[in-house]
Amino acid sequence: MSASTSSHDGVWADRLRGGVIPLVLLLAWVFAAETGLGNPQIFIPPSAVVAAAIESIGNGGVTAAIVATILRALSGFALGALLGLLIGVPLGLSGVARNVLAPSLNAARQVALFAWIPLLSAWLGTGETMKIALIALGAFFPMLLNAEAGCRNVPVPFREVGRLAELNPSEQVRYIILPAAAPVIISGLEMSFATAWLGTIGAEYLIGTGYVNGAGDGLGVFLAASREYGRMDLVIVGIIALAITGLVLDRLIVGISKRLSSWQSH
Amino acid sequence: MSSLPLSPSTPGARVPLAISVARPFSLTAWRGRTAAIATGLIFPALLIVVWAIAAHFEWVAPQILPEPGLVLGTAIELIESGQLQQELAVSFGRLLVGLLIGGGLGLGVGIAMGLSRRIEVYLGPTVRAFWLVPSLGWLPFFMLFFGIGETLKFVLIAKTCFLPLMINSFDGVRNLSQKYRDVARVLELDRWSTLRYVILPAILPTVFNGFRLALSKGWKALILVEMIASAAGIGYLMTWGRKAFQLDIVLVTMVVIAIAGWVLDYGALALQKRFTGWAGQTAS
Repeated sequence: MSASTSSHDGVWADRLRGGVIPLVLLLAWVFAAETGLGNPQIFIPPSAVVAAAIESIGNGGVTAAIVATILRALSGFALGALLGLLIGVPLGLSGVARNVLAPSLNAARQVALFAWIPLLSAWLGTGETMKIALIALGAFFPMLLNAEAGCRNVPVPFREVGRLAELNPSEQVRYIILPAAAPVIISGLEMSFATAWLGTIGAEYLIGTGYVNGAGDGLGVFLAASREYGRMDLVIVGIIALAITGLVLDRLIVGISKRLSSWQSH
Repeated sequence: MSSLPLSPSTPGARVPLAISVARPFSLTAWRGRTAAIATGLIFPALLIVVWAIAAHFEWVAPQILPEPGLVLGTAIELIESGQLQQELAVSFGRLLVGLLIGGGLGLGVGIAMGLSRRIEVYLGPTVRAFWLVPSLGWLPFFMLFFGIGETLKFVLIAKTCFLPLMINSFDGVRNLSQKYRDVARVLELDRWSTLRYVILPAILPTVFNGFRLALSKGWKALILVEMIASAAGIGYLMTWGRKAFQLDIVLVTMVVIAIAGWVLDYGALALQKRFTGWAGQTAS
């Protein structure tokens, strides 16, 4: 008992030690702000950040942005991951499909996600369609790769069972291939979401005109606009909101994928 | 390979093999490879034909879909005038500086945190909290803090390259076999020699993994920052083409960005094989 308490103390002592550097940085920041040594536009006092946070939560600016960003990220992610699954499974199962499509998809995958923005914005405009398309594109490739690899590596005996049981092709996919490939596909969900999240912020940030046009514009636009106005307090509030939202969504997806794959342990 | 016992349940002749096994030159293998390349080209060829037809009959406005010939012409023009190489050189220069700063720091911090628990306890949480937000999220903060000059690009790329190298060198040191440390102690090497002759060579394979990741992430971050705040570089050229509604330039730069990203990764992989090929052989 005493041993566990002392190790518990150790954890807390380590946490305190971990807080030393942030505290020193914060003090240096406050010092620069209070003495006017730093540029007052940049080194704003922490109280101003707190005030900005309260203000933007109060008038709904940041909360509306968070909600819009989450909805956008999730819908783009769902669309892209679904497409990745729909194309990845046949690619994993059919050598012909793989030979025809894999080189092209691999080439397209080399284009950095944000490098699609100029082309997509010219084709689809700068509205919601384009943002969802970019997010879906980000989510698409990780899912495609995992679904393809997962289905390709289903052990041959498994497939033979399906043939012996005289299942038709769609039943084989439903009852044999997908369950066997599930762990790989599920781990693709997390990577897929991570890219979708980046795509969301990027789409909002780059396409946002830099001026908040009303609710539903998202965190990226909130950040871009705050920077445009030189509002360091709002930029910091936006970054903190971004960190928390990203972390919560990531935990959520990890939690869901753990639940989905829990059958393995039974 | 042939000495390995085949698993009993693989008579599987009907199941196509995913990977063709590499063999010494034979006509059938050569034919197979040519066939594979030809099959891979079917889809792009179809795409270009549809594109050409669509552009020729102007199913969509030519500003939105330029003819394939025009895109090719623009590519040749950009190369002949030297503009493409110039922008690429600017981009690669930025990537190199950012990678050296961020990667070097990441390597140092990772090794220090791996060797000393005290450093890890003090520095770890700060580093982890800082990296919770993607580079993109830090961009507005950095833009206010550093302006939109060259410093901004270096800082953003350095920030992006830091983490992969830090994590990988940290893991490398942490997972270092106790045997290596014992050897260093037996030989009575001092701290510096242990680092130089034992630790660094031992973690090299892991560090290379981090290096490749840093390179690919750094390249993407560079394109991003050049699109948002720059007056030179390949990302800038692309945004400029978009603003002037010259989609031929946009398409050319997209291809260049993809090829450059691929070449960087391929080059890093070749370096990795060249310098850490021993790792696979002596693993026992």
